[in-house]
Amino acid sequence: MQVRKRWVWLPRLALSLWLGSLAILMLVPILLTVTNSLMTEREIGLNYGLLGQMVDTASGGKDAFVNLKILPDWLSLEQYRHVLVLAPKFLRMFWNSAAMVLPIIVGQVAVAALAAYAFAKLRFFGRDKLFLVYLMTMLMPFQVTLVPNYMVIDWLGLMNSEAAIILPGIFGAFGVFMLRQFMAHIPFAYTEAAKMDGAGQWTIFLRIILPLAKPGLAALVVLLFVDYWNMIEQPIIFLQEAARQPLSLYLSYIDKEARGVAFAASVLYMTPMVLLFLYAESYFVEGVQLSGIKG
Amino acid sequence: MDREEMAAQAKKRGIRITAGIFICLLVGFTLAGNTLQSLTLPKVYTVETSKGELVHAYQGTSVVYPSEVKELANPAGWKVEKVLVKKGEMVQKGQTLVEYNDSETKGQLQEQYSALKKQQMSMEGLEHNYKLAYISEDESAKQSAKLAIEAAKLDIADQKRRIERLESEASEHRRLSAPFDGLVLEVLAEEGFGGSGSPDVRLSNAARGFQAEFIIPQSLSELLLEGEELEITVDGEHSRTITGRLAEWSAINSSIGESAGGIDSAGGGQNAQTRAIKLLLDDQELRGGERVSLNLNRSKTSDSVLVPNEAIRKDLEGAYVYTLNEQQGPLGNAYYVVRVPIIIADANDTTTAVNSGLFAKQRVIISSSEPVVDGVRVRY
Repeated sequence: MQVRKRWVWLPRLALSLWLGSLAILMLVPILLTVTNSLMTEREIGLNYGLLGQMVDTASGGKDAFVNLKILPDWLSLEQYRHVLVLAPKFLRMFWNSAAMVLPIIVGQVAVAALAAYAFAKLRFFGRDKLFLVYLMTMLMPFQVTLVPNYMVIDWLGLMNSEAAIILPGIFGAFGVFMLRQFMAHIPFAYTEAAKMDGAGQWTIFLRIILPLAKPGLAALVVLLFVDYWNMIEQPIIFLQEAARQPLSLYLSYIDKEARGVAFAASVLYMTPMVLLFLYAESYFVEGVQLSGIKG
Repeated sequence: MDREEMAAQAKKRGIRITAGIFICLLVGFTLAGNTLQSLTLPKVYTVETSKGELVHAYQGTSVVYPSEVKELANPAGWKVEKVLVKKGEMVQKGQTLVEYNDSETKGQLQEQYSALKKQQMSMEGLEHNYKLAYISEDESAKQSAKLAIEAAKLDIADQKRRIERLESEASEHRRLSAPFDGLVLEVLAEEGFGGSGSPDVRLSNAARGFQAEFIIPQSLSELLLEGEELEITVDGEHSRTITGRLAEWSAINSSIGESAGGIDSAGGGQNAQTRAIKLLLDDQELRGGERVSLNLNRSKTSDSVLVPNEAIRKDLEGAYVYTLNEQQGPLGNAYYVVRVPIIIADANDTTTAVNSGLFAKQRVIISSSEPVVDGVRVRY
């Protein structure tokens, strides 16, 4: 017994080491981005100057290692100055993103919560079949629905306007699916009890289900935010005008010459997502666990 | 509220504050972006063009010197007995300038006179011989005595001519006299010393007048005509204005020197091409050595747009200037650099006259904090 007790911490330590090293591995790119955003453009050029020249060694490209540097030689806010002051494009695109993502989240959460309530708590004819059809749209990748989407948007005259992104976003199936899974775990006993007390559907939804589904809603908000903050295909296809494009396309504008600002732009780009995740972290974990969806 | 929940609340508050700061920062940068950006733009300095006459001005001083100078040498290399003139003195033609010591020649003359006397005395002896021969009727003696008298007569005539020559030489070499009316520029002769090879007196010819040389910018010299009369001022206690006739100008000179006392006080371009001009001055009161000044103002074009030279830029396509284009925006006016090709009509050290491309009262860029090119946005 004594021996057993003495060695009981060993597997724990091994697990900690394993998970710790995995966490470090995951964090290194973020750490690299944050520290490199404080380097001067010159230092970036020195460290990553080889990047563009290593494409193909057969046609004159260089076969070398890129120097990944974690600590800057000299702390500098030059990159941030470039992004925030010298390039008004970044801020313009940031607000474009915000103006598209916020309506999508508000709209999809509102629509999805109502739809999920119906699918989870109401009994009506063909409910599960309808849900399956609804799910089908989610299962199809964006590329498959691209052409019909394009045609509909063109027909509605929404081409090159933010509505072309926002409207399909609001009526996305993902929110319905996720909240339905979450609400299905809320015992019927709550709704039954409310019904006994004479509550109508609206009261049950607003007073019972929504408060209980808070973690699920938070998880949905986070996932939607990440999803739409990072969208690439939709704006490329539906927004030709550069002044309307969201921030997610900004990094694609950064070419070899301007790689000095890429890190600062990336840090500013991911800040809202990180803050949102940290804020809703506890709900998010709970929500994802209960709805059985892995992010 | 348990401890865990409080920690969670504190964390959430921290995130809310961070998010608030982040959003405020971005809003701030968005609203102040134009102002901040304009602070990072290159600052340009401009001047307004004007309309008018491009004047080529010159102001310079020089020293008057005679047109013809004669160097008078010691005629025989004798010792100087007396110097009769001083530097700066006006002399008449024929006036004695220097007297020389002729004692040596006087001695020679004395000897020659004695020799003549001896010859005359021996002549008397010969005449006496002839008389004796005549009385004795000795034909041969008579003949030889006659020949001796003839020979002695020739000797006496020769001796007289020699004395004459010596006397005229002595009177000629005893003094140095002025060959013309003029001004003594320099007296090199010193009493008691003989000829040293250098001239004893330097004399200017008053009849040929005086001259002054000025070094003027090449651009200005093109606007002057040969024979043109220019007014110059004689500096001094009683300054007065005299006229000088432009006689000749030298070849173009790329470097500014100070030859002939001409000092270019116009300043300006160090590498400007210059020319020396010579003015003939006909004035009775000039003595040479006076300081004179010349003020010239000439213009080629009468009504053109004037731009400072700093604003003129040149490249393979020709001359141009940068002007500003103002664009009005919601957050203030933006200024952009515009390249305007021009045709240069004339230029002096500081200003250029432009024939086409610019209007009066237009702003042109003369300098900037960073190099600018066409189309660049600048701070003004």
